[in-house]
Amino acid sequence: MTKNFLVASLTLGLFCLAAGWVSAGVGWMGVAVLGLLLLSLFLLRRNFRPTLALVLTMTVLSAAIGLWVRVNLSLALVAVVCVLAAWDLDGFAQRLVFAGPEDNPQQLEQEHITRLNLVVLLGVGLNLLSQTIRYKFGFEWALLLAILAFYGIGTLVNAMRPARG
Amino acid sequence: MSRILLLGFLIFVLLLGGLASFHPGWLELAIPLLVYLLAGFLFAPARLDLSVERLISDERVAPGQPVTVSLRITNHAASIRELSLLDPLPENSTVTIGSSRRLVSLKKGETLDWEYTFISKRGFHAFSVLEASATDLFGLLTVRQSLPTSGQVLILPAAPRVRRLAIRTRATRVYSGTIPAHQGGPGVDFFGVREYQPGDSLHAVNWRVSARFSSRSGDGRESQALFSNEYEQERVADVGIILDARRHVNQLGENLTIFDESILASASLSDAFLASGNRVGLLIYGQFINWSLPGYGKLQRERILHALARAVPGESQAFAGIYIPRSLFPVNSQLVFISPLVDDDIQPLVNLRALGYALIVVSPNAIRFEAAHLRQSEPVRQAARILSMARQVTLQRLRHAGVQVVDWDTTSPFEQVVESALARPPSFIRAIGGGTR
Repeated sequence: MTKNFLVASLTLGLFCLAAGWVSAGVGWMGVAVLGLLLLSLFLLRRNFRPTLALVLTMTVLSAAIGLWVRVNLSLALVAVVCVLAAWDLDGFAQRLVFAGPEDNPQQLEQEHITRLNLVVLLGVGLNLLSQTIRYKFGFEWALLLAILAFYGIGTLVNAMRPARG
Repeated sequence: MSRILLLGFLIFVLLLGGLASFHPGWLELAIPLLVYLLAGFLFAPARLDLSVERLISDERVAPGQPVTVSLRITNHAASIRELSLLDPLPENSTVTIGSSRRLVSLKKGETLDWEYTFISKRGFHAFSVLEASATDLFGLLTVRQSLPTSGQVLILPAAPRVRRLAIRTRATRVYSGTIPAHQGGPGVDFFGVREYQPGDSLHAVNWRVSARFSSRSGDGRESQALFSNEYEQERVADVGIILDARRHVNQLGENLTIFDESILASASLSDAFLASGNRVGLLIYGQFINWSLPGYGKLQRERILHALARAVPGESQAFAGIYIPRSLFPVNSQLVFISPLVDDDIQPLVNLRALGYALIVVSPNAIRFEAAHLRQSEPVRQAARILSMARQVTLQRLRHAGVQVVDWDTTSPFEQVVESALARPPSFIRAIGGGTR
């Protein structure tokens, strides 16, 4: 079940991204994204571990850059969310290998997919909220947010290192 | 790259890019990623405090015999939503019932009872740790712990029973056994006739010889000389088993080794020699020289089986440097060399024979063994034929030097091959009367 959801999510995400690029008038980029989809499906079939991490990185960067050339924000958002879900399911599938028959893997899968859906829905909901509430901030606010972003991400990364043990 | 670092990197790029380009879309794209990250944080695992108890059904088993491992794991810390447990198994093991890995959730104070059964090949395995790792809901944060446990399994090599082995050594020990000692005394086989001595049983008197040698003296009196039959004493001997554990001799391909066949032969022969009451020692010649000092009986059998269970091939190149301590194996005792053999081994073996050791070479046929595992084709058959001829020449050189050679085609049961080859002493030993000096 996890694998099916993974493939479906990845396919939907990259199709949306490709559609976004095509609708923005950059057809070759849409073709490239579809090529990326085929390549990633092939690599997944060959059990190449970093596939989804690479696809997530490329999708996020591609969607963000696409916004400059007027790729539809909703399509970009769906692409990022779907590929994020696929990346999560890939990680879960690797952890699920540990489950023995007595652990009821199907129930574990169902629970995880439910949790993932909730988080994704929350993310999309907040995103839609952010699209309706617009606040124009000046350079000072931008600078403050940038510093906060630097600080937050730096703290996050440092905090994670000892926890990984 | 760790999952959390990748996610942090992407969020960072989107936030920074959005702020730098004043494009709100970049910030909006970061929101689902941020929510996902925060959800991971919210359910991050705390430190692990688990205790483990292990119970193993059998600590000493034969290859292929199932071993059941029971584990009881108790969580003394906060609840863990996703706990992966891995009990590392010996190499070449197969789990037959249950699983050696689990993915569970454990509440505070909850206990998990876990049982699985596996079968494995020869070897020794200590269950020293249980690997545990707890993650958040999305596998972003992981806390790992190796939980120390106790328990071990010794999978002893198979030792098919060999019923009769006839060896003839020039020197024997003082205890009675099954090896002809070339000395008159109590025994079964006729050894000779000697003059009657007080205390000899009347059953032992050889009346025919006594009658022949009775004589009449000059005064007409008949002097009666009596002669008694003497039998050959049977005693125990020193037997040294040398197992060739050199990797380049035993390893025939990436995943193909004939070493287990040599182990089987060593176990079987040591068992047979010990059962006959002999004093048996084992030398495993691999990367290091591993001695099991000579001894008698069941305890020695256990020692040898333990040594064989742990034996692994090593990197020694030549057999020439091997030293047999005479205090352990006096000259004229029996040595058994178990090896697939290479040409370079001939001269050291001939030298051992020249020192006076009675030498048996048991050689698992590596050529047939390897050929049986290759795809059959004309070049393979041709190569096997050429190599077999070279091997026959090698074995013949050993036979000419007075070495008993058992060429074991591993497709045949070892006990059958060795019984037919060693049930009687070889003709050259019979011809020279057991090699007496």
